[in-house]
Amino acid sequence: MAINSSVSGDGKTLMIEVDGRFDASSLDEFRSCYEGGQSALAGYEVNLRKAEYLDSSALGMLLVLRDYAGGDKAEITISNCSPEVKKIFAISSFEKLFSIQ
Amino acid sequence: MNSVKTTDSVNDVAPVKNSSKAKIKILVAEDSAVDRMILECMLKKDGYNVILAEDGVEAVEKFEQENPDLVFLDVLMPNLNGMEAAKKIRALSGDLFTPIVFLTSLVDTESLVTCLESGGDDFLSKPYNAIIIEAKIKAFYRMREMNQTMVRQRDQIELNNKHLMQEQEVAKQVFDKITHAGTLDLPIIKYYMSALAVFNGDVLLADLSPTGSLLMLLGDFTGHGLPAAIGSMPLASIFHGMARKGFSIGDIIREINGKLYHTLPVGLFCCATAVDLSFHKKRALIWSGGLPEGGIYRAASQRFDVLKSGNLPLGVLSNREFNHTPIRYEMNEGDELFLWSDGIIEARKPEGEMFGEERLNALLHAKSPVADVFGNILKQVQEHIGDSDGDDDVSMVSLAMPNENVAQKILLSAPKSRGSLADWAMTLRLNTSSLKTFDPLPLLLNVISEVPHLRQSSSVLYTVLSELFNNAVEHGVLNLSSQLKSSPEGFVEYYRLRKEGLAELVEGWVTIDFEHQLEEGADGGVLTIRFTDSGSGFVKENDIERTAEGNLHPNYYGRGLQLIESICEKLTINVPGNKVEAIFRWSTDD
Amino acid sequence: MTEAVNLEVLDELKELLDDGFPMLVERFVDDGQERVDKIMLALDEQDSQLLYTEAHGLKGSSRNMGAGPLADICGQLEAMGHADDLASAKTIVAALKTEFSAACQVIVNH
Repeated sequence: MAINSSVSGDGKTLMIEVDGRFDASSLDEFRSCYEGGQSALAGYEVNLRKAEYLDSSALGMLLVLRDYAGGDKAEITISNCSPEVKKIFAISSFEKLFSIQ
Repeated sequence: MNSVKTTDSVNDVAPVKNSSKAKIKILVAEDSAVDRMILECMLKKDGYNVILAEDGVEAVEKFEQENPDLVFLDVLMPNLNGMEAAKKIRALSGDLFTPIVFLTSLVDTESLVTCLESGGDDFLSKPYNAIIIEAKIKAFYRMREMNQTMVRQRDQIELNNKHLMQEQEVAKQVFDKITHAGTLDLPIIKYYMSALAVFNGDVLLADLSPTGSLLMLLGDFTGHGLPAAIGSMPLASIFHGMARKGFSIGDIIREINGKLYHTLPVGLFCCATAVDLSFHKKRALIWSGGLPEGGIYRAASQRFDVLKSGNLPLGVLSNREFNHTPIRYEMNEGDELFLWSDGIIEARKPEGEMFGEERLNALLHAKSPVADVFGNILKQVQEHIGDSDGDDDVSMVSLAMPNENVAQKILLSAPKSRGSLADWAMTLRLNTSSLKTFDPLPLLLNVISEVPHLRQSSSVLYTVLSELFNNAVEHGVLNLSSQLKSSPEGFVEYYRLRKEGLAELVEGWVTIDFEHQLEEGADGGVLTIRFTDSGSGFVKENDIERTAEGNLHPNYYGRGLQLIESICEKLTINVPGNKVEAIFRWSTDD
Repeated sequence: MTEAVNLEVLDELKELLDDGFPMLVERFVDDGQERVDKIMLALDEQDSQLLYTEAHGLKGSSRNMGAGPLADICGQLEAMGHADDLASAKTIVAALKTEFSAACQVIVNH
């Protein structure tokens, strides 16, 4: 598994791409992506196109990111979700906290 | 070298040093010694390699021995005159162009024409002129070289072609073995594949599944020739391998797609339609991607229902983006499914006109008895193509829903025992050292993927297994509290403690039990997952309390069991909570 | 009167054949005589085909040796032989003998 991040062309969004399993074992890697102090960021996008599996610890990690990004004011998009992943988000009522695509 | 010399050959003329000319060998056949000597001298002075003959018979002999590049022939010679000699030399020369120039003092046009008609390429009049001779030799030698190149290339092409044909013959035998390893010879299947179609990457596979279905796949790889055909090898082996183990058509299609996506170069993919025909459910599940739609000819109404299409071909998308869900169609007794590759539409007359969709549709909607449709189409296509042996690239197949008797007979030949995990149980116990270092989830997923129908649920089952395993380790073995995760800082701290706890673990274990059973009568099964740990239980914590609707407060824990409950049919936690059992039920009811 | 043999042609041949020139001359004289004898025999026996062949052969060598007048006479005889009409051949054959001698003389002495 690997997590990569890059800043979007306009410099406003931090793009985080998860490859493989997304669970507690990737916690440190995931955190180091955004805990770098890019102050000018307006939002985050977590791309799950290459994520194969995730569990509840991944949900927790996403919530930690949301808190870091400003809680209720956070703009976080979770993109390229497979039907299974969408179902998991739905069960956890995540649509209300994140923009799920 | 010229070892046979006539007595009056002039040997002492110093040839001009010109190695390329010395390679040019010229035969001079002339009965008059004077004329022969003069021409010989002229040629030798120019540096050519000269061979002499005094009459027609000797000319032919010398030609055979020396294989000269150019022949000068006197017309009137004793024994065999020049014209006769020319004919023999032509015959001996075969494919290779050997210029023949007649030497003559004949002046009348009629004689000159006769010379050329008897096989001469040009003539040279006496008295000889050195400049004209040189010019003629150069021109003719160039022609001969060009001709030699052409003949060489043609021979090379012929040779290459022969090799190619041999290779294709071998390859075809391999392909035939692959495609006929299945059950294409069943009475309910009619198919036609032209020889060329196989090498243009068309592939047709059929096999019986232990679930009582007939699985079939018609594919058409992009491109032509061996590169296109090569993809059908992995395709066929996956198809047959999985079909006989009882995997569903969706699983098979997905597996093939992933394989092709990873192995084929970009731009090479496989248009395909895959079918699962269940005799007792009286339905077909059809996945189609990229092939012409095909359709079902209804026996009762003689209507032709066109199939829905809409997927991209196999090998284009990664499995994450790939939709492998087939569409369900009712199939009543006598209904017949028709599939074809675009070769049938593009089949051409010798003049080039395509068979076209209109003609095909006219036949499909002609309301003829169902039994005649396949034969009618094939007959018309073949009549259309006629003798044109160009792009005859036709693949067509039909699959009929049999009556009960025929279905019974066919199913007798279906694989009896499932070559796959069906009724089984396993226990995996992780002791202290394993818990510290070993991640059991990939192993568990591998086991699950071997079970037809569980494979397609591997994503949700991962979530279940991951939750249960982490609960067992964190709350059971390590006795960590979820409450810790109620703040972002605590969330991070929690995982730090987990790492630390595992590193310092002195004693602990987790046991994982799987039990899988097929359900009698129903098309499905039950997987029971049981996690037991060495801990004192975690039920005491308020893990399954849900956040009230409308008053959503993000908490960082307590989501796990909720997820499991939504995925599994039943979740049971014992008291004190060191044993959790989840029951996952699957079915192929569609 | 035209020259029996074009000396320029002879010079060129001499240069071309060099040491071989005497042999060329010898063969012209010997082979030519042989052909003249055969032509006379053909006339005696009224053998048109033989006359045609031999006159044609001598004509070619004569042209190559530069003996134009001799070649012309051979040409006439060749035509008669070809046409199978030897009626007026006798006088021409006589002229051939004379012209051949003249040509040989020039060539040998060159």
